[in-house]
Amino acid sequence: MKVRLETLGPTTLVVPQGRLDFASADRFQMQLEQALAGAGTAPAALIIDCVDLDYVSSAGLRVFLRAARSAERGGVSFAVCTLKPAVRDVFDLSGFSRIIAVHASRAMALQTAAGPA
Amino acid sequence: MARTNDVLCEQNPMDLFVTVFYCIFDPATGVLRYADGGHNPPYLRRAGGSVEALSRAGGLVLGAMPGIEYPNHTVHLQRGDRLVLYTDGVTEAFNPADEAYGVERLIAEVQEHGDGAAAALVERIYTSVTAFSGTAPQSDDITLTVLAWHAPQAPAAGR
Repeated sequence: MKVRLETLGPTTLVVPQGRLDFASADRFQMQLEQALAGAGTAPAALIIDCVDLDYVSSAGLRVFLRAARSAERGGVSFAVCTLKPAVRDVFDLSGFSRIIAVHASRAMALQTAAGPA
Repeated sequence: MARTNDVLCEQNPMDLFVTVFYCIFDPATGVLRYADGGHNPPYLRRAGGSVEALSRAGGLVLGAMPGIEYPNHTVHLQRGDRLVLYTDGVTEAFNPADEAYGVERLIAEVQEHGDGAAAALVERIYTSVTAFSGTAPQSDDITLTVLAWHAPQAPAAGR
């Protein structure tokens, strides 16, 4: 799985590409922790843009849970956006879409991240 | 389940979670009461061969967040029905071309081969999944449980 990082002002965007499963979970976990720590100062918001994410296994879901928890502890706003149908299904079945902010588009996620927390 | 979830959430430094499908079947009334904790929806195969997913309200996996409610759902079973429970290792078994086994193949197996004994259906689905995945490595546990509520023995029923 490839991961791209983008910075838009105080918001860090993480764009994973491919399949998030047991094999790629640990590395993605580390990349998210690094993104949450930031370079010196933590970002105000972390958005995972899933536009290129094809598949998430239960091991992959755990990475989202860990990142959401970690962001909450650090006072970083956390959201995911642009989920493909297969990934959206996994979020809905597991109930994760009830506890993690899911946005239909990157624009909506950015708008929410920029607004009052 | 709400209590179990709260207990799990109290000590979960590794942010692990579990999915749960919990049900109680009363053969006197045919009523199956169930609650869902983020599990793949089981399939109910009616005696006639139709297959439906048990409706659910997106119950959250256990261990992710405390204070979650897990509402009860009810479905009436008839004699001859089959209830098929499975883990995501079934539907997310991949083949060498990276295609998932998916729910359509599972439903087709349940529809076509659900008439017999519970163990036979479990075996049938398992064989289908392993044949599909071929040489691809198994990515998750493959667990299946089938509840068969057999029709009463009727000597002249002809079925």
